[in-house]
Amino acid sequence: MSESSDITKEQVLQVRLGHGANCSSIGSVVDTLFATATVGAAIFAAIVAALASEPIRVVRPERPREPKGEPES
Amino acid sequence: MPALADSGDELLSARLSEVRNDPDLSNDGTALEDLAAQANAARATPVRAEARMVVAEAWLRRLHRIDDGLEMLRRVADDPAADALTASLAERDILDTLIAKGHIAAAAREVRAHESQVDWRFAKQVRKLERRLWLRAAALGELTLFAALVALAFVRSKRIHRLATTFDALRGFAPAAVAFSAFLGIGGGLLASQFEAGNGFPFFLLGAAVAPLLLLGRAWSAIGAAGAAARVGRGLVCATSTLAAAFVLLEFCSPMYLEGFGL
Repeated sequence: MSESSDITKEQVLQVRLGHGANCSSIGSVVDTLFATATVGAAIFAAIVAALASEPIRVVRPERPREPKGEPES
Repeated sequence: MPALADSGDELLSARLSEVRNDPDLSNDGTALEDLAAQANAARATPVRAEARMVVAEAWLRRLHRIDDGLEMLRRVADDPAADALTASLAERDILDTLIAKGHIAAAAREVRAHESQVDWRFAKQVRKLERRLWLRAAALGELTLFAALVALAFVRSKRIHRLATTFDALRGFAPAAVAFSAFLGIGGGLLASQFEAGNGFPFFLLGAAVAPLLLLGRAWSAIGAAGAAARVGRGLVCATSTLAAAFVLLEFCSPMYLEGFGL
């Protein structure tokens, strides 16, 4: 690392103690985002694959029968 | 007899420091062969282990004699006369070489066989890599099963002349599948790349992988059996395939994400 990029004492605002205490949690946010996207996609895929296709029956409307040779009044 | 042995050790020790201190000799194949032969003929002492270690490292790193280097390291690791530090260094070098060559299963076997010589954190890491190997095999197997079942359904549908129904279902569903995949890939990718340490690439790949899975799932549902068990089965296979695809692409492009999930 070059001298110009070294962190000076004045630049350090706060130091926390503990496991990963100074570590950004952004990594885990992105991980969670990816996990959520994957689980969402898996659920959607499951629903899509479980869809049932209903058979479509085309029913032609019956023509109204014309009465034959009605007696003239 | 002990006097002769001592003089042999002194000769080996002198030769070892000669090779160590001369860059030309430490890169010279013949000099290293001589040192190896001398060490193999010497009695079991820490100097012998050190000499073998020097030869092994030169063969592995500079002369690219991987198999010979590994064999020499194995001798050091198994040498009861070698000090504990040198033996565990040899074991670590064996594991590093096996992992670098992609022989994860061999590295895991090595860890199981010489558990006491390996740092527990490193052993844990190797076991994790081995688990990933099994998960990859399972994921690829799952994806193959999914492809085979969908292909079978297509063949069956062609036989009973229902392919047109499938394409009708696909035509209706394609815009939704593309929109969902684009939302997942582009939306997730852009969101992830906003963060300093974020990488949107895995999201783009996930979107690209999900679109065909959704379309195939829809086609399968249009031509597959309509019974409840069949539908549940299809749903489970499709969901697992999506998870498998995500695992495979993460392992390929960003294994760091898998670390985050403890895989």
